[in-house]
Amino acid sequence: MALACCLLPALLLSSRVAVANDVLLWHAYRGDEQLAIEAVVDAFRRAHPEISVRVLAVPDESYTNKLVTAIPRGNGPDVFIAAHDQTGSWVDNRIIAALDDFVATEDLARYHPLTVEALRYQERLYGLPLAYKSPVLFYNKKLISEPPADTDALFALLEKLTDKERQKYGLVYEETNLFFHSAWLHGFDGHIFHPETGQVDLANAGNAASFLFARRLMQYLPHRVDGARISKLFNDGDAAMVINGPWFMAQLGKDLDYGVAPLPFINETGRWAAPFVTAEGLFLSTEAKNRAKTLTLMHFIAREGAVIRAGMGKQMVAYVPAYDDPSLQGDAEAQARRAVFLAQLDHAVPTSNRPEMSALWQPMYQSLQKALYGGPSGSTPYWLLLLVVLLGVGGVLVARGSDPSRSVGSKRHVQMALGVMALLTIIPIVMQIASLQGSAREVDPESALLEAQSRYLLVQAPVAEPANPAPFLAVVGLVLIGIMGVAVWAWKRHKKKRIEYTDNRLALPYVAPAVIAMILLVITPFLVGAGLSFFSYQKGEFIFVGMQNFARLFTGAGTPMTDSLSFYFTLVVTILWTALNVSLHVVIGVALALLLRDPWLKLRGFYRVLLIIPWAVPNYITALIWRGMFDTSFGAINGILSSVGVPPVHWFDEFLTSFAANLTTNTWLGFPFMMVITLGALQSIPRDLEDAASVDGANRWQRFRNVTLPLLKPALMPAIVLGSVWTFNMFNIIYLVSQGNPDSSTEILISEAYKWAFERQFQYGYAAAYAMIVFFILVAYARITRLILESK
Amino acid sequence: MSQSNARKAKTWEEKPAPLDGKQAILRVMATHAILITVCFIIIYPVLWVIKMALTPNELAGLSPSPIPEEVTLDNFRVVMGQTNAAGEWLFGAQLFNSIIVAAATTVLGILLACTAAYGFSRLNFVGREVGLQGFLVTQMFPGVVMAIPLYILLGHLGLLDSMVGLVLVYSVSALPFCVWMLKGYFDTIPKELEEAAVVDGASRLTIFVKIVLPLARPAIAVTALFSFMTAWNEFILAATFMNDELAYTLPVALKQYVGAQTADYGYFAAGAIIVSIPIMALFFALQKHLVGGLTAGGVKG
Repeated sequence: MALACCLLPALLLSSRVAVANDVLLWHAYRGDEQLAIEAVVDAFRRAHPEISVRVLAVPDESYTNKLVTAIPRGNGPDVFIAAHDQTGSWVDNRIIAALDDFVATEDLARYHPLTVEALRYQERLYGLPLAYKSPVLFYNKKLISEPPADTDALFALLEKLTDKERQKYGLVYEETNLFFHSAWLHGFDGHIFHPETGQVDLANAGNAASFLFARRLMQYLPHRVDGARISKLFNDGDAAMVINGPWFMAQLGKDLDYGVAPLPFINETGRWAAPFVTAEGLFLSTEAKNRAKTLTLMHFIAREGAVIRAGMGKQMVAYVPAYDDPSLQGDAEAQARRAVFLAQLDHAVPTSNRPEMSALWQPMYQSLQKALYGGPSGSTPYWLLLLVVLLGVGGVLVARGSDPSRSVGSKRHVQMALGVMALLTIIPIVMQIASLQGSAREVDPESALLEAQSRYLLVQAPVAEPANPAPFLAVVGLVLIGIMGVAVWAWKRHKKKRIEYTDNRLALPYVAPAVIAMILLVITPFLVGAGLSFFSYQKGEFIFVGMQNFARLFTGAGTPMTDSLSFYFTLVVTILWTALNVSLHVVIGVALALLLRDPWLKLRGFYRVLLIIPWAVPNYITALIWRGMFDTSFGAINGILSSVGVPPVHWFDEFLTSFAANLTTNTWLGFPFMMVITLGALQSIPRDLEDAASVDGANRWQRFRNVTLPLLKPALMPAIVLGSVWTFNMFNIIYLVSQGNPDSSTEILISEAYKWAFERQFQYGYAAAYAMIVFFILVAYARITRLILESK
Repeated sequence: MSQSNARKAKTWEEKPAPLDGKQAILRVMATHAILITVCFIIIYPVLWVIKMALTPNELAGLSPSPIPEEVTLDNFRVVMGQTNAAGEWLFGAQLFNSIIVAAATTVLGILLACTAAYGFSRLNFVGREVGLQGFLVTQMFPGVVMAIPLYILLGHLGLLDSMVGLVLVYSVSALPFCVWMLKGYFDTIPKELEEAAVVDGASRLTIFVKIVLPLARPAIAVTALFSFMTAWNEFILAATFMNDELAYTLPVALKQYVGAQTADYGYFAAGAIIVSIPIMALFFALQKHLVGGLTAGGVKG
């Protein structure tokens, strides 16, 4: 009681009372850029002491999510700094205001035209350009004296400098990332949006040709490297050239002698490599409270603040006059680099800011993967499930068949035979699965691009037609009447039985607080969530669509069952996930508990404490640790493998290995629960029974099977049911370890629902439908297991 | 507990007759060997984290050895010294937030769970069966998607970016499991004790507080542990409801080190150790009650 009184004031005090500032600015900067923006805002405060400004550094991860959810509710910033690519989607969600009336034309002319174009949407200007980011060619001056001006020179250098045996490479870059591949895509006259119709058109000749070019390059490059590995290779001098953006400079060693050059001219097509460029701008919120003051701040940061941002922040600023500022001339090398970045803009294309663009990165990444490294098979989980079922059925049949106490001789022989047959069919299935792995499917660029196009269409929220709510209201009305009818019937029956509810008034203060809390904070959001499943979230509004979400879900959203976004695919993966996890937890937990209970075992307590450690570690930390251990370049697992001569495995690029990584992590953290339950149950089993059995001549296994196991069941069964519900909904592991990779195939139902809600155009309604199906599956499962348990 | 003590049959807790023969020694050695191997496999990730925490960030390499090549405390210094742009001590604020949220969740959780569990266990009232079933069913609600309505609700109440909101949400999420467990434990406490007190003229409240609660200490300890762990370890809802870095709890702060672009495993490992130590210490202090508390509740439940 005293503790609660002390905590309450602490709680209230620390609820952050919002100080009323004139202007609230959000950004996601770190490091030098963060220091620079703070310095600029400080300079602003000195220049304009009458305007109070608050700056908030929001982490990059959830930045755009928070903008879209916070601004309409009035919790958001007045102005924020962000990349231009979501401009279209923000305009559609009505969270940013047009700036045409607030920026003078002569003023606008002083920003690089490409950055201005990037921040325009539907003919209107929505952002004030701050800086731009575009990839260029970094080269090691010790290895290369003259950077390649065209692709012929590039290939000549690659021939000379690449020695894969000694792990020396002429060039390295993130080859499956569209942002870098865009240089070749545009250079080969490819496009994302059709120049005339404006529709998404991925499967065109130019794109396919750029894929073939990338294949040629990959003969000289290390495959599937991530950002960290790229830095290491370049810093160590093992890679002579890197295609990367200005942020790369922060990762380079101080002593490294490097230069930058524009990306080369493509001899094959007669065009320059033209990468995407991202423009960073200041956006004005539609809910800004003091518009004039906010605009003053915006102009200051973009214009007067450009020099600080270029120097201290090392940004490539959009305000062109800043490049001639005397304070920046001192560092000749930095100036030379800035000039190169500026020159690259002559051959660059702003990433499209249409809302459709954000849904195109993932499909293009997948298509590049497939075209460069072959495609995975979508039927693996189905085969795997068949394998598990056969294993289970075969095992049970063999166990029954070999147990003389269970049934008559002939029946046993039949069971045995069937069981063995089931187990034997596992062999061809395993071979089938093995044949489907790896770069089993050679995919040509055109097919890869077509698959990307159809995946894109799938993830787009289908434009929903509003449905007629009348039948639904009728159903709801009927249900309410039904509930009232049931209540009346129950009341009448209660009166008849004359059950004495003696403690009604007494129970109220005991039970009420918990029940009220549950109703307010659990039942109500759940019902709201359930209701949401009949709506579709389009452009900031919820439209009633009736059963369309469910229809879309059950038809697999128009994809075949082998597509990893199909509901059935995810369902099979979830069932596999739950079954394998719970089996492993129980087997390992029970085995360890049996080992631990021998009373003559010294150090029993010591072992037990060590074995509970996985349960004590917070489970998101476990997930991130294991993700680190399965990392291709730095992970301990690959380290162990390489010390016995096995080449590094790309764990998260294949379904089987990615699923195995998730499974290992969850098993590590899940078996202690089963072990502790078993230990507790074992404590209450009288030893006499087992002693008697051994006197009767039963060996250890038979003693376990016939005496111990049946006595363990009452304790284990509830634990298994609870454990399987928890595993079915184990969001953290999937979201943090494999993150659903590859290509959303390791997603389980709950993590897929989350992605539909928060990462695929905010399709809240569809995600709610998904969640409701998960809920009904679990309720059915709990019901069925209770019926089975109670019938025994 | 008194019931098993009263049991006459021998249980596995008692000392057995001494073993004899070579076979027995072989068995002992084999068991130890298996256990040691398994323990090493289990502990390896923990050792790896400690090694990553002590290795300078730039040296992160492909070595499976759990022994760090170069030892430095820099990672800890960086993580604990995190400040935001205004120079305010971030780490301190986030640690404070985590402690307060977890403690408040525990207190609120125990209060709600104990009273409710006692009511369900001892008292006969309308809706008792339905209530119990209802608690269990809510366990199956997919919490992640309830985040949207909760966000809206907390927004209306002005509780976003506030610890009060998190405490309320966390307390009710651990509630069903805690009520279920406590009720199971209360069920094993013999009613005769309470009836004797009633005869002596004690009120229901006195019985609850002075007789039943002290007897249920192991189960309450486990409940407290679970509530604390739920609040201390939760990250997805905290990440959704909190915008201000200063308002973050430690899990959210820690996740930032392993983002999509960055993979500062050194800092993450240092932070992970700092975050895990208190919770693990608490866990191990109370773990002897786990076996008793869980099974008594579980078996009867």
